[in-house]
Amino acid sequence: MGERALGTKVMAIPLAQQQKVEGRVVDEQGNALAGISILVKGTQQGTTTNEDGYYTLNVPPNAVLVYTYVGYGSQEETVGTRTTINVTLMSTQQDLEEVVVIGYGEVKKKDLTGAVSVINTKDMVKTGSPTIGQSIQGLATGVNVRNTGNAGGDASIEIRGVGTLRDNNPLWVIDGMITSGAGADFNPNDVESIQILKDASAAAIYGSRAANGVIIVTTKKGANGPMKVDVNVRQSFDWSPKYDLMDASEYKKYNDMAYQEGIKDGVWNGGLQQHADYDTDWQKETLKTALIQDYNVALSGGNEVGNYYVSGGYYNNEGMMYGNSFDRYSFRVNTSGRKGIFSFGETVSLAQTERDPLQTTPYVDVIRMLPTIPLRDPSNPGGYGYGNESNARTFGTNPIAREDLEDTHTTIYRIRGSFWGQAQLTKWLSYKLNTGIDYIFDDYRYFRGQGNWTMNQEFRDPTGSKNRVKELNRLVENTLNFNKDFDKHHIDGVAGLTYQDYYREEVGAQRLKFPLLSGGYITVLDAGQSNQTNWNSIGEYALISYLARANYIYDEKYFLTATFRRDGTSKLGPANRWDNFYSVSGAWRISNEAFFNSNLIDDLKLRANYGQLGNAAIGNWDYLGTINPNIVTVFGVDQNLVNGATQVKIVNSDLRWEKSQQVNIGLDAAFLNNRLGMTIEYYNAKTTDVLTAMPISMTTGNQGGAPLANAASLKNTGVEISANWKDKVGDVNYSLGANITTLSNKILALGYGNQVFYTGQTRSEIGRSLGEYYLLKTDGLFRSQEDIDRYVNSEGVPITIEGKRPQLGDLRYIDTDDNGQITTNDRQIVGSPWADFQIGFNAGASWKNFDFSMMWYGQFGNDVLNGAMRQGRLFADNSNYIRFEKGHEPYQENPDSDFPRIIYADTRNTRGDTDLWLEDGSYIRMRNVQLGYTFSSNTLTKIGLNNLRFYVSGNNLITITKYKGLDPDFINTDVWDRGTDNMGFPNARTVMFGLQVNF
Amino acid sequence: MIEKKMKKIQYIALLALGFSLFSACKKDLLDVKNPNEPTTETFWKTEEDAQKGINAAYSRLYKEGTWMRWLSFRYDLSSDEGWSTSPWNELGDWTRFNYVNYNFFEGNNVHWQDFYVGIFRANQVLKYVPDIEFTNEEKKDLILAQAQFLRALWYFQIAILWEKGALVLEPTDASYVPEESSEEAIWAQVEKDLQESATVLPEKWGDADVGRATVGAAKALLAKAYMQQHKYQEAKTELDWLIGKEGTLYGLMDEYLDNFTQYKENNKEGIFEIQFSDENKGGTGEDASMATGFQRTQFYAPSPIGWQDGKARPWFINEYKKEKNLDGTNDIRLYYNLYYKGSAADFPAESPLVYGRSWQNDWGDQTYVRKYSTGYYRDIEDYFAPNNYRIIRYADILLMYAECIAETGGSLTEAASYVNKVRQRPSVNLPTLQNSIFKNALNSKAEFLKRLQMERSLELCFEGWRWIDLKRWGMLDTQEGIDELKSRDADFNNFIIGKHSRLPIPQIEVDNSGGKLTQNPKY
Repeated sequence: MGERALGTKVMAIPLAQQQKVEGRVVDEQGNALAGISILVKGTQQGTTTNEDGYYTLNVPPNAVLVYTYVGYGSQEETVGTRTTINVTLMSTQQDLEEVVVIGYGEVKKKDLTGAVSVINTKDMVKTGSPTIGQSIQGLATGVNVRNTGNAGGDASIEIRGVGTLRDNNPLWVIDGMITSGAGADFNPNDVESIQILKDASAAAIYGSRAANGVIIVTTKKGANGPMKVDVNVRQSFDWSPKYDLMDASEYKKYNDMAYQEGIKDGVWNGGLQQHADYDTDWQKETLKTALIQDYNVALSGGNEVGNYYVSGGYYNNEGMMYGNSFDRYSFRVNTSGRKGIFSFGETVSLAQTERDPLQTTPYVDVIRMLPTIPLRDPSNPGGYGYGNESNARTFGTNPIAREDLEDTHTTIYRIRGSFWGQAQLTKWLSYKLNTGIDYIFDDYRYFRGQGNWTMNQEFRDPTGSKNRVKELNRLVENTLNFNKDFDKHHIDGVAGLTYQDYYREEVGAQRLKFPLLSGGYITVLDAGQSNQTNWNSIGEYALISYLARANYIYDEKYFLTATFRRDGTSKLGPANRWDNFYSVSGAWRISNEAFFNSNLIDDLKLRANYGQLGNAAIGNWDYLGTINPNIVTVFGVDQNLVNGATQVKIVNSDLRWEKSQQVNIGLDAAFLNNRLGMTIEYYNAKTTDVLTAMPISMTTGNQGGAPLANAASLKNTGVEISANWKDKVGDVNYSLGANITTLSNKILALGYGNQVFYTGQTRSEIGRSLGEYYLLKTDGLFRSQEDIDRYVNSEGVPITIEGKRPQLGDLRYIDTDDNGQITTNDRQIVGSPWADFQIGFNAGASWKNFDFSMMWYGQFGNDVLNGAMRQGRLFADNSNYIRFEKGHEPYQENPDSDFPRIIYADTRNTRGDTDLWLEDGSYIRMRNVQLGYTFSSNTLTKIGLNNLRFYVSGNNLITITKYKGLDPDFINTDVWDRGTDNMGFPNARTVMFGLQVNF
Repeated sequence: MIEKKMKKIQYIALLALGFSLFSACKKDLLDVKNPNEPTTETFWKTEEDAQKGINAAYSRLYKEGTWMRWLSFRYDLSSDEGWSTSPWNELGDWTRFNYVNYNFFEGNNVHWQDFYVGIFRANQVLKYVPDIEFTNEEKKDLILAQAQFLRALWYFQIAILWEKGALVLEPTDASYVPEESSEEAIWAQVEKDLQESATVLPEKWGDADVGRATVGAAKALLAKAYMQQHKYQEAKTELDWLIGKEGTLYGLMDEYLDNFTQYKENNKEGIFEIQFSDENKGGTGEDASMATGFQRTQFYAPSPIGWQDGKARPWFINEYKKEKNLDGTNDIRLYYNLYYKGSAADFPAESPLVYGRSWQNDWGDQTYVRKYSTGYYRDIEDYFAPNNYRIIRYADILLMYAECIAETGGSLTEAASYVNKVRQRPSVNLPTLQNSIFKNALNSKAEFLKRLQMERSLELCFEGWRWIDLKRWGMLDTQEGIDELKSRDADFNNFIIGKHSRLPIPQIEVDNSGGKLTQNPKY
């Protein structure tokens, strides 16, 4: 038994008749439950569990033990002949007593008046992803997470749609420190809780930066008790999905077919390519199954006057794509203490990340490089293979060559820290000082050796550069908090003053002509012999805010919250510097009303709020017209560089905050003995004065990007529904959860009197959503001479495509403007990148020592422009090709096919701006599946451990979709063209083995 | 009692601390100045500011939309002198009148954008420098005159390429919507700026300022502007001045090649040159390391040295070889202007190497542009060639003068004498027109002008004037003219009269102008 304290309260019953029973009580995640009451049914005899969940009890014969705990219901066990009874209690309260962190305060989940999503951190760590962003996909309604497999990369997060045209990233508050993000340097294993504030009521306390939503992260603290050690080890294997590219013989067949067609048409008067005799599988050369290792150790403990949490972690991703890898070392110390009316706490984390970033876009390169090009070619400068004029005419980049010739590495040191001190001045009033820092030191090195990675490349001397960036972010906050209950009234509130500043300095230097000695370059800058250049720039801003919130609850039934914030920023001109933001919200707990009588519904709360938030994600001095003093020109018989200065960029000096007016109505309910919980939300957010860089006339001579103006206006509305069910069937505890989000995006104004804004592929019009696909509409192929003859406009004029009449097998385009020519004016709206809805589904079950869970995520109704298919069917140019499915070969080969004639040097059937490349991007994916085994307490106590769990997990193993690209989940942050898959990094498929040890 | 007092003291101390921190937050913490750059309020105050401003205006010569890179595709490759077989199809399409996307950056929008930025910079100087106090007013006038010259240079290109545009004569702000101006209005502005600047600009600058605009440059450009509008008499007046400076200020170099290398830059034949230097090896942005080199050479060089995006038409070879020079050998200008397979055989006395190598099999029968290539001193190309690009040189002045004399009804013998100076450059050494197989050229004005068209091409090919010449001669407006061009360059089979003699206005400018700018006809 060791050091464990025994329970108490043993009744006096003749010992001879009693039987000793012992065991352990845990929750459904296997965590020890302390303080559980265990009573012999029908008596007052019983005990409670200790800190590790263990108990021991003498019971009479035929006893039934009842295990109860607030929030966990109760469970009965017949003792029978058992001497060891282990029990798993399921939480039934739907965590309503759970405390939720909102800005500058905490609130019980059941008392929330705003839309706050609480992420279950146990679910979050299941995917083993290295960043918080990547881990929360599918776990909260209204939060759209798009992911990447790039080692060292991070997901992009949008909360409730796109409310601004520039930066849609939410605000992050990590342990009280307001920063721009958690990023790849933040160890997700340190996270205790995450709350996502989605509406005005919740976020208004962050005022001018809250319009995109706020993510609040709190890291772990030590719990009372002796030191606990948690060890987590994960080993994963990651691999990438692959294109179905042709091999050399198939490529040659179709390349020759296209060339012959071009010769026949007279658009190509060279011959066929003299293909070389190689068969390079570029995907095989660049992709591999990568090993990911993740080790985490945490020590924690504490007592009534102090606690500590110390953790260290190492994460390594060797990269499934050549030339990309990532390492993270992280260390954290969180402590807190109290004495009398004072208490303090701090969190400090140090992280070092090492990144080998990609120099090229390999998922594009593997399509562009031909299989008839060898990986290496000693006759090329640098020794790598790439295109050449006679037999492999492509400007594709050899990705291995580029990654080898350009050595880049980024090391980032990050120190995050927060310190707070609080004094409980009276029972109902406390003062808190909160400070935080976020320091980033970014070391970047670049070295390019001599050599080429593409055909006809210009000559470059060996180039080396070093770059250092320092970012210092500091926060000081003073708040007064009050909290008083009298009779049925409860009032709490906070008032405060905050100051935050940010300083960034970049210094770098470069030289050319480094010496090559004994097969290697000397890369220190001192060795560079010519063209010494250096650079230095500074960015900084400051923010002062006044904030206040008051919260009133009457009788646990009526809730009222009002929030106010006044912000001043250095980023706007003095006239527009200060502005006010506010929100008002209310809630009504219907289920506490006298007239409410339902056995089915345990809790029903209706809430509504309205507020105005702001967003000024603009540059530090965008309102100031500046002179560029670095212009250079050349004069003189000695051809000297001479300095010039001029205004380069035109600005609008009256920039102001963007404003977002948001309405949210929600309903929270719990049913059936708290086994079923549901939340329904409706939101409507309108952003006005949206900062937009609408292009101005080039005749102004403006350069450096269009000037920002507060000119546009957007609206996002939607419905979110989430439901959770927890129950037990026999020995099996199970839970199910589902969430669904709809989003409707609408443009209300574009600025400068514009009705429409076009990009090469999309159209954004007032009254419709951003970035609808605007492409030429195709209508099958010309299969007979009649088809061609009938291809005239309404006046009988024969329609020309790129100036020529079509031939058999060509694509038929619709002449929308009826002018007899197919031009970009014939484009129509053919699709939308916005999903009709997004869903997440998770299920978990545990039976004896086994546990199983899975998370599904998907979206439906969005269209994707398949960039890879567009590149892999580019027969007008030289590229490798994506294999044809049976029955869909080119027209020359299969006249019944729906794929047109392939012709080299003629773009009529391979134009990039047609709906041929638009596909349905709907998908549902099993984001994670996990099977775990927890060793039983008997075995554990023998080894001296509290918990030992071994698990096997898989990420992204099943994806059900019609989309033919590599991954329907990809990152594209261009607000005007979000749905185009530009062959970015797909998500890795993972198989992971993990071990959790606690002692 | 003491404890209560201690607690009270603690309480007060804390509140005091709290309030002091509250008030410590001064509002002027939000006045964060930009340490990277001065603001527009604080600039344009001193003589040095003015000097920097005009330097920045010259800096626009080092941008892709000018002769540094893409403008040659409009003036040389679109004409019958050159063509493109670039695998970048759209790039090639814009040299053979196949314009599908009117916003194609490298074919259209880059020029419009770069010219208007140049105009913006000149306008800033012209607007703000007059108010600056100068100790020597002449210095101020020189700065203003240079700005006028540069502005005229850019409007000249706009008039040629699009035949209309917006006439912006002052710096504008973001709300500016362009008003459309006709070709005549733009030419009128060009003439005005050049006439005014010619009265101020010097004949020569000191050594440190070589490369700035001179009165000769202004008059030469003005003459070209007049000739383009068929105002031959006015053009001749300007050219008279330049011709009068032969021997003192201007003249022909003995060696033809000396006009295209970095060794004898800013010589007597160069009238206005872009000062290219390989000292900076950065990108083409607006920072201190911005590239200041000639980039067209990388785009014309044969594979694998360069991108091979532009080539010469082969008719040049037979045309040059129609006559031998007075030494009985071939016209050396053929050797210096083109890389082609038969070059070694045609010029046995010259080096047969191309970028240090003999003719590659890959190159087959292709003809490449040799003029301005840096193969004369190295065997690679990059984006930083150091040889100056001569926008106008004296040989062009002589041929222009001949044209003006003929067009104004002057003596054909006199006109021929200027053509003969060019033909008889010592290293070229061709017979005079009268003693050549082209002596019939002196029979009539029409025959003379016809022969002059070819003389210009043989001397000035790939120097950015052919397109402008074809326009001036009306060859882009008649079927006869197009047929002749087709015989030398099959791309003209795509040419539609009344359409392709000008470029489409960038579509995005038309779309965003609220109807003020209209697209060119037939587009």
